[in-house]
Amino acid sequence: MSFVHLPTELIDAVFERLPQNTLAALSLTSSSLTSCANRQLYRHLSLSSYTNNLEAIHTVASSPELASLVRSFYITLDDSDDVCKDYYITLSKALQNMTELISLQLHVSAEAGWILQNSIPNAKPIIYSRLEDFATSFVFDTHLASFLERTPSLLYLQLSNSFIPSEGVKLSASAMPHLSSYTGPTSLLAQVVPSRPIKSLHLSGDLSSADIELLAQASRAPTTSVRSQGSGHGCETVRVEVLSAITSVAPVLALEALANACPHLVCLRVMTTCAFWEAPDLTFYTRIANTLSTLRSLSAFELSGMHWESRPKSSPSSEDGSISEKEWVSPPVTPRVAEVDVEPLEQDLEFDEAFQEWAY
Amino acid sequence: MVTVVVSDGVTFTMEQDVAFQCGLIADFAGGGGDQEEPIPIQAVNSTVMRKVIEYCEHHRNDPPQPEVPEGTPLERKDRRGRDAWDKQFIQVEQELLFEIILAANYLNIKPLLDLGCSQVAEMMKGKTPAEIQQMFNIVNGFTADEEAQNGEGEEKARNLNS
Repeated sequence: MSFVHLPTELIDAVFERLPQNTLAALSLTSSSLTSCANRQLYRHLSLSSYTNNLEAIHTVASSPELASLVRSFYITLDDSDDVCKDYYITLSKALQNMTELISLQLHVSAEAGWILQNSIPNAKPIIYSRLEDFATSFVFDTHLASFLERTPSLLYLQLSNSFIPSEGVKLSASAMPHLSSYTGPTSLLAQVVPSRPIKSLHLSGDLSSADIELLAQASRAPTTSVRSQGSGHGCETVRVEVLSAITSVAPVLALEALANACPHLVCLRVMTTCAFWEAPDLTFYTRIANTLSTLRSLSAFELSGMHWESRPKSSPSSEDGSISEKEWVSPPVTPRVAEVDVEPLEQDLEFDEAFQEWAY
Repeated sequence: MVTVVVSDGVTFTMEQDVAFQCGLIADFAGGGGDQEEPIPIQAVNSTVMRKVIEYCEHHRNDPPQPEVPEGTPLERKDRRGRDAWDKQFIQVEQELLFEIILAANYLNIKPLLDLGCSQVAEMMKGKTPAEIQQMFNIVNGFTADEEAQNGEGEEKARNLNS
C-alpha cells in the first residue's frame, strides 16, 4: 500500500489540507499526482501585484485544461500596475476557458469590458453555466450586458459605482433569471430589478421617487422570466428584504414610499442627502416610527448612520397576544420642541456641507 | 452487541455504541437490536480493524460534533475535538496509516478519516519534491517530455504562490 495507490477522492482529501507550495512540490513528484495537485492549485486563483503573481495568468491562458479547473478567479489591477494591452488579451483568453467558474471578481480597468467577449469572431457564445457570484469594475456597456446573458445561474451581482450612462445598452429580460442580490448604481435599477427574484439591494447613487415606484411595481408583478422558462419554481417575485440606499427624497416621504414598495423588508439602511435647515421635530420621528411599525419583518433600521432600536410594543389593550407588534425608537436625539420662527439660516449652504452634517 | 467478521476471518464483537460509530455498520444493522449473523467486512483486515475499534472505543462518549459551516478552513476543522490521544494513536507506519484511511472511508467514520488525512498532509507539508518522493517511495513515472516540462512547472508553481 502506497500513497499513490489511494483512490483519487482520498488523495484529494489529503491535498485539500495542503498549502500551495507543498501542492506545487507534489505536482512535480509523479505524473499521477500532478492532476490531483493541479486540481487544488488552480481551484482558487487570486492574482494581484500585491501577491506578486500576475504572471500566472500566462500559464492559465496557455492551458485550457488548467483553466477549466478554476472555480474562483479574482484579479486586481490598480493604476500603479503597469500592464499593457497584451496582458488584457491574455486575461481574456484565460477567462474564455474558465467555463466552470463559480465566483469571479474582475477589478481591472473600467474600460476593459471587451475582455469578456469571445476573441474568435462568430464563435459559439461561451456560457458560464455555474457562475453564481460576479463582481466587476467594468462600466455597464454592451460587452458586460452580453456577458450577463451568458450567466444563467448568477445569484450575486456587484457592479462598479463608476457608472457611465451608455445609451442603448440594454440587458435582456431573460438574463440572470435567478439573481437575488444586486450591489451597484441605482441608475441600473430599472434594468436589473424587474423580472428577477431580487432579495437584496445595495445601491449607490441617488434613489429617486421614481426608483421607489419602480420597486413597488416590480414587487407587484411576478417575475416574467420564471414563467416563460416554465422551470416550475412557482411564482418567484421581487421580494426585497435587504435594502441600502442613498436618497435625496425627504426621509419621511422616502420611508413611507419604501415601506409601501417593499413590505417584506428585514434590514433597511437609508442615507439622506436631503438638506435640513433645522433640527427635525417630534412629528418627524413619530412619522418614521409609525412607518417602520408597518414593516412586520423589519429587524434592523438605520437612518443616516443612526441605528434605531425596536422593542415589543407595550399595549395594555392587546386584543390578540399572538402577534407581537414592534415599536421603533430613534437614537437618543432631542427633537426640537416647539415651532419657533427663527430667521432662516443661510440657505446658500453648500450641498457638500449639508451632506456632511446629515449624512455622516 | 454487534459482531463483525473481517477479511482474514477474525471476528470482533463490540458494544453497539462502539460499532455504530462506523456509518456502514450502523446502516447494516439498521438499528434493529442485536445482530445474530456477524457482519462481513471484506475490505478490512484484522490488524486495521483492531486499530479502528481502538479508536471507536476511545471516542464512544464523544458528544456529537455540530455541523461545521461551509467554508471553514480545514485546518481549524481538523483541530476540533482532537487530543493528545489522537495524535499518539495516528503515529503509525505509513502502510498502516493508509490502510486506516481506506478503512475509515469504507466504514464511513468521518472523524477518523479526517484524522488520517490530516496526518498525511502534516507529513508532506513544506517538503521538496525529492523529499516527498523519498518519503512516500514515489516513482515519478514522468516521460522525458514531461520531465522537460517540469522545469517549466516549477516556474509556474513559483508564479502561482510567490
